Amino acid sequence: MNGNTTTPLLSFRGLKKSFSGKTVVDGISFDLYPGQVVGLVGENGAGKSTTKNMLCGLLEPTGGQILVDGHVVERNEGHAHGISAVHQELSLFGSLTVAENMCIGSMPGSRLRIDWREMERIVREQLDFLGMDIDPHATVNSLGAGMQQIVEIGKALLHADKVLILDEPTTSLTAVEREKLFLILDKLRDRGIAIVFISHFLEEIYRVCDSYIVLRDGQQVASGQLADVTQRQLEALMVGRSFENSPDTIRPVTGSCEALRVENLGSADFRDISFAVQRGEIVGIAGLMGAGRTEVAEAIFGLRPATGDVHVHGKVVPERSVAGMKRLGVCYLPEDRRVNGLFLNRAVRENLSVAAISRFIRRGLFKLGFSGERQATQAVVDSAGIAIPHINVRVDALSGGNQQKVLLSRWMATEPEVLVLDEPTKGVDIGAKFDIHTRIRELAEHGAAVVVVSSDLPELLQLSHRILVMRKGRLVGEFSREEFDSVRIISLAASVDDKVA
Amino acid sequence: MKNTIRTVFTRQKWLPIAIANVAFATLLALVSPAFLSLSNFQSMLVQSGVTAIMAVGMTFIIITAGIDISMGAILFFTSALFAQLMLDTQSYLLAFTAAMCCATLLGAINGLLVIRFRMSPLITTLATYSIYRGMAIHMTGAQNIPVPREMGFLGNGRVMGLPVPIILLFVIVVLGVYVLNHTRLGVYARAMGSSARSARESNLPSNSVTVLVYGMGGFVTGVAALILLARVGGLQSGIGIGIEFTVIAAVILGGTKLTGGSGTVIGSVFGAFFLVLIDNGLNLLNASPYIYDIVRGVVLLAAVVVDRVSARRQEQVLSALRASRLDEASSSRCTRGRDGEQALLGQR
Amino acid sequence: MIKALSDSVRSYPVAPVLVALFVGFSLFSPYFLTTGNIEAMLTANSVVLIASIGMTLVFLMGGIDLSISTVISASAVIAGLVMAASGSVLLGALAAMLVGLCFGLLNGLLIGVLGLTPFITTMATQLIARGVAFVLSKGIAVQGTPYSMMDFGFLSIAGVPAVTWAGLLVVALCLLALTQTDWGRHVMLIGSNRNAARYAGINVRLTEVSVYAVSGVLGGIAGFISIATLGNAIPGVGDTLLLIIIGAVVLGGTTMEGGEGSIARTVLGVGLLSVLISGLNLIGIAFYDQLIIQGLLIFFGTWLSMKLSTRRH
Repeated sequence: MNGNTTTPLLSFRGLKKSFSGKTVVDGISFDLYPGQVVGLVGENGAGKSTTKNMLCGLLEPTGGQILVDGHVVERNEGHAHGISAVHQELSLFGSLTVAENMCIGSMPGSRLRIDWREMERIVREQLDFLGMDIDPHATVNSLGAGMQQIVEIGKALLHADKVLILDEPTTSLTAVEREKLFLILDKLRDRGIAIVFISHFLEEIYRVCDSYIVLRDGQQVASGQLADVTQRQLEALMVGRSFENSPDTIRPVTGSCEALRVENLGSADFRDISFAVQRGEIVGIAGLMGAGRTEVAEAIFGLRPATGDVHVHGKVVPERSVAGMKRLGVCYLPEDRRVNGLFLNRAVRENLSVAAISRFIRRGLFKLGFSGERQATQAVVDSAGIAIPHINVRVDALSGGNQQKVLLSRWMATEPEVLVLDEPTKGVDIGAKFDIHTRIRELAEHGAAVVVVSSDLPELLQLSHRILVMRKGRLVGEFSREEFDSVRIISLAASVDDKVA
Repeated sequence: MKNTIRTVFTRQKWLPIAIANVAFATLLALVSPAFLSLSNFQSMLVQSGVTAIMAVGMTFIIITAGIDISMGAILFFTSALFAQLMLDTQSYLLAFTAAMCCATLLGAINGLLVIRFRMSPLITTLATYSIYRGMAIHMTGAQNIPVPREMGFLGNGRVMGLPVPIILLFVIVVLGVYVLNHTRLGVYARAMGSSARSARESNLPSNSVTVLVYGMGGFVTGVAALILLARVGGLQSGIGIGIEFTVIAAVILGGTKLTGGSGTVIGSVFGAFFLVLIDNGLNLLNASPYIYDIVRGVVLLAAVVVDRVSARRQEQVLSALRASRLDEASSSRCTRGRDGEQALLGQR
Repeated sequence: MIKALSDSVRSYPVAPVLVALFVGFSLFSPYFLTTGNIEAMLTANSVVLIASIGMTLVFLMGGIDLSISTVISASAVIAGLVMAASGSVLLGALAAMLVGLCFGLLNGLLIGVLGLTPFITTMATQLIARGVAFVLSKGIAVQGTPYSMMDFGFLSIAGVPAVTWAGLLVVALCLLALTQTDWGRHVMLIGSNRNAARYAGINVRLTEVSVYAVSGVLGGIAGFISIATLGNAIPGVGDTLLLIIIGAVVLGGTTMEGGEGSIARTVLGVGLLSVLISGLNLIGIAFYDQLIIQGLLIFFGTWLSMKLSTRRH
């Protein structure tokens, strides 16, 4: 490794990037020394991914200087300069083996023959170095998300072992897998590898990093040692204003009229799930990734098979389906809006009206046509504050926040009395998040029953009257608002005693 | 034990079709003892040769999540070029070299078009299908051209007692298996079919692999064309029409998925052989030649239905496995679950 | 005005090419712009028009129906046999549609309910339909077509052949169904994102089955019409049509990925291919050179449509 700690491995001076004249990122300047772990933080849209792509050589900056080992270079060669990156979406091949995946960039052997033994040796060595016991011959498809992440890191470090860039590496990991990952990062740091760690979770930044860089609106607004700054201050730097707390008091539930009751729901992914939601009540479901929350929500709507009963307004639902639940005034906002929610290459208009078409149109002769749809959807867009150029724009041209608002508005149009919202603010900016929270509160105040599934615990603490905690497919706890205690909820959700394979 | 059998079946995707071959052959042997002769097997291998050879190339293309509808047209073009050159120059050397080069080139052009214009391989090769066929007929002036009698050697001749097409098939299969399993090209091909995005991000030479794979498809189609020409005795206007679908059927029967990412050369060859077995069986039954299409269609459907159903069963097994883990987790952590409840009770 | 024009050119990039070809051929060949030729052109392409509409619906939903070509053959043969036996044209038409419906339902159930890949499934049913056509006809044209059927082929209403009217009726009905009904909206949305359609409460399976069924029925109608235009039910009639049908659809700018395209575009695509074929015939281009030109046109036309539609967004 680089013994000389006085020259930085990598330095950036005034890095700038513009797309078609519009400056997205400007003034990124920092040094990376061996064994240093830098946390790159910022809100959504602050320019983190553009910066990341410039760091790893995927994007060429439009201005500024890059120094490798103290020398100015023409362009960032990425791998050739020892820089490797693990992106949020893993670049693995599911049908290939672990060994093939890790060595794909530089296969041992000649052009005409792969040296399988050498490959296995390299891979075993790398896996030993990471302290992981993974079968090199297993196909990646057969591994869990955490293992895949580690294979990806092993692969990245095989190709370039000076600087490692990690983009939101923990989003799909369980708590144990996350801890395992952090141990590996500690080990890498001790070996003199410089790490850039990008994360939404400031707790993780504090756990892993020693210094930080804050981005806001494409500008580098602060940098320094983490020891010198509190988490509150860091949050304030990210947001650009002091962190406002939304109202600590929420309107209590009036009366008790049960809107949704789930009884003994069970399937391969969860067991014995029973809970009830009153009208006007917001119930949060907390838990770690993979605790079975989304699976429960989908089972309520018949999107996956399950045993047990669902009651709506006191009556059992005979055959669960999205359409049937819609008729009963129950709707579901899926977790991954791009995969399961939106029709990306269709107009905003069609995306808005699909769930409640009859409320948007006047059916003419022979029940044909969609007259009035344009005006009606435009009215929805205006009232929900969705920023779009015109109603027929394709929905994939919108920002994450606006996309989520479109999805929410689609289901609001059905005038639901019970809503199940799965990660309603995932990947949206703070403004849109605030708007969405306001709408959820309004809904509850007007008597709707709301279930919010979220991995963002502060969100649940702010919004909910009650929080249910799921762990490993079971409901393991229930907290009413007076009992809210983030530490206890997290420890209940994450108290794990099983070992990672 | 049951588990290992399942692993073997999921890993060796050619096993089901191999077993189907054996089972069906046994059935035919029981019905007709004449079926079981060595000469009959040789003749069936020869019959399946053209399809099997092309299927080796198609397997590579499908593994990269591509497809080549123009293979039949390349087959026809190569046959036409060879026959025409033989007629004009009588030079075997010239005709052979030109035909093989041309076949490879036409395949490679498909690959080049796919990477350059970024349209779906289906549409791209549908267009070149029309273009290649048109060019071939243009070249020969829509004539049927006989080839010299010595050409028959390629189709019916024997070397050391083995029919030449079988030897060629064997060589190509061995090469195919080797390239797919022991070279970077093979790994890259599987990788590209598995995830095009990852391939891009890993800087794989996707473009070269695409051109190579389609070029190889063209090359083996050239070999198949010469064998076919030798067996038929000359260029006929119907050569190659619809054969791409037979080839795709062989590959699918062999357990390769159209979505790409994995597949085996051996499976595709077994698939091609199975199609010939069916023909043989129908022949034994003295069935109308027109009924062959129906039976092939039904067999293909049956194969994909069985595949789908077994995939579903596998999903069920997996989910049962998940469920059992859920049970273990709960029994081993019973106390802890109670702890959680106690914590809650305490708070109330 | 100019903006509106350029917008419509972008939505229908084929239109100016069609106009240019039409004018060009009219200048090159004195016979091109005669009522006789126009009528012949319309008659000859009604089968392709009807089948292309079926393929368009399937493409819009993100599927593919390779079987439509030989479903044309199978339904033509069965309709021909029914008509020869009964002498009733109406029964023949019903038989053709029923055959198409059966194949369409088979495709739909296998793809929509069992979850098979559309390409392989319809490749298999293509083989089956072809076999049915050849087995039932013993490989030769079905004899004994009623005279009234032949008359139908020559019938002309308001200067337009009756078979073309039939095609236009199909176009109008499908256009209405696709753009003015919830069913059509659902087809487009499933093509755009099948998962999202499921999560939005659309009955995806039913819609998929119905689209393949409609495609089959349109194949059946096309088969019936083929008897009128050719005078006999021919078992090989559909074999060569697949290329032209898919070509017309993608040339018009409907993509195979689904959710993008329209029936109007396919009509233009069919128009372009028919003008091209007719014109090339008239100026004496051999059939094999036409194959080359068709291939080039399909390739570059599709590429152009794709380019323009991506730039639009």
